[in-house]
Amino acid sequence: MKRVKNIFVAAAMLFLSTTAFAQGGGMWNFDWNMAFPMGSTTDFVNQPTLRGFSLEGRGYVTDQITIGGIAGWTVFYQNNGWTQEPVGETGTIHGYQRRYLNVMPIMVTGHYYFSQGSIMPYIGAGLGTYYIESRDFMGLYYTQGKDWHFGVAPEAGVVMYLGSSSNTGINLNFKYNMAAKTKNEDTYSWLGINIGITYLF
Amino acid sequence: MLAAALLLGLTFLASCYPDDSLSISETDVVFTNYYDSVHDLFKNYTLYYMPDTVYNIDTSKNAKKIENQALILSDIASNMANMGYTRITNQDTTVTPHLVLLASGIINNKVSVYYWYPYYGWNWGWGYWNDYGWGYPGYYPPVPYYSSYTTGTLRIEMFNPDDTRIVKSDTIHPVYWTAGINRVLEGSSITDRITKGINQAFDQSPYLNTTAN
Repeated sequence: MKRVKNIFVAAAMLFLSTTAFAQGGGMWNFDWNMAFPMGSTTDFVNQPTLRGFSLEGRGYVTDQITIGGIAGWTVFYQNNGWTQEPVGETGTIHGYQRRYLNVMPIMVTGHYYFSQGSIMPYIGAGLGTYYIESRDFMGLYYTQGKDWHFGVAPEAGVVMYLGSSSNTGINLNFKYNMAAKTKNEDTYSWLGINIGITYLF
Repeated sequence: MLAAALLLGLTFLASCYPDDSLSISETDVVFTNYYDSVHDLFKNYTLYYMPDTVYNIDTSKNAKKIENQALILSDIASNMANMGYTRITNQDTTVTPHLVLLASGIINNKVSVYYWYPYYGWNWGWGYWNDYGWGYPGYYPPVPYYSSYTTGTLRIEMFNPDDTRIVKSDTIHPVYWTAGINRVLEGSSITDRITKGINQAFDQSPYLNTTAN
């Protein structure tokens, strides 16, 4: 039921964003996502990842403001090799340890653009959910956590069009991702550096 | 519509686990645990008895035979000697062992997955034993997640024959120390992996050392 509920939320976000697009154009962003773990996330995985992508639609509601939606997928991976660690109060385990985080954000976004033209710096934020699945492998065994986290993602970036009459450009932004603690799962946070192609419509 | 399909489709995608091919030895896992009430008492125990058999937990007719028993027992014995224990045999009728150590193995069964469960229940022990024979408690804590590859686990368990408890009208011996050396009874380079696994089990249990403070 929880998953179904989240699908509805995602669908509602999409509806919202396509409604916005109808009012006066917008842009699609196809971005490659790099991510650097922050805070307590570094206790689980501290290695940055280059495995990530996102798809975002933004629609103009005024000349300087867009609202839209974003979905993405980032995979953190760290190979700790042969590791010995405590289990509970009295246990000890030794094995070949690998850790993974599969992160899928689905969010409503809003952006404010400081200028219009071929170079458009902006600030914005996403609000929605992160589905996060963590796995901690020892050999072939693993413990797993998975949950939908409430998420906030403020960002700052720039869209640069390739020429004054081009509707294609480059989007670059820095995004702080914060997935809130849930009943069973810890909070996660990371800095995203995202670069990709923007298509204006 | 394409975007909508992509967006919603993302939520159904299976997760990604890159670079997850392991060599046989990289699948080996060693788990040890001890009874916290006796953590500081191991230095008081110096004599132990270990039968000349690696018991097979799987007692079914089709159970695979456990190979390399002599190697397993000698590796355990040499580690015990390094920890300051003296092994006695069942011919030594004049002395009583402080500890009994049993080695057992299981092949082709998922029973060993509980070793990865973070909380190992101590409210069970040997349901019965007769002439240092072997009785299996037949109870396992629940297992939250496990893989389907679990095979070939060597177990070592240690208990004090004078320490008995009554649990559900059975007289049992609480297990003082246990080691689960997973997967080493199958695959390639078995003998190397057995020795490494047994050595690791003792290395990660320094409290067993009778000369430890």
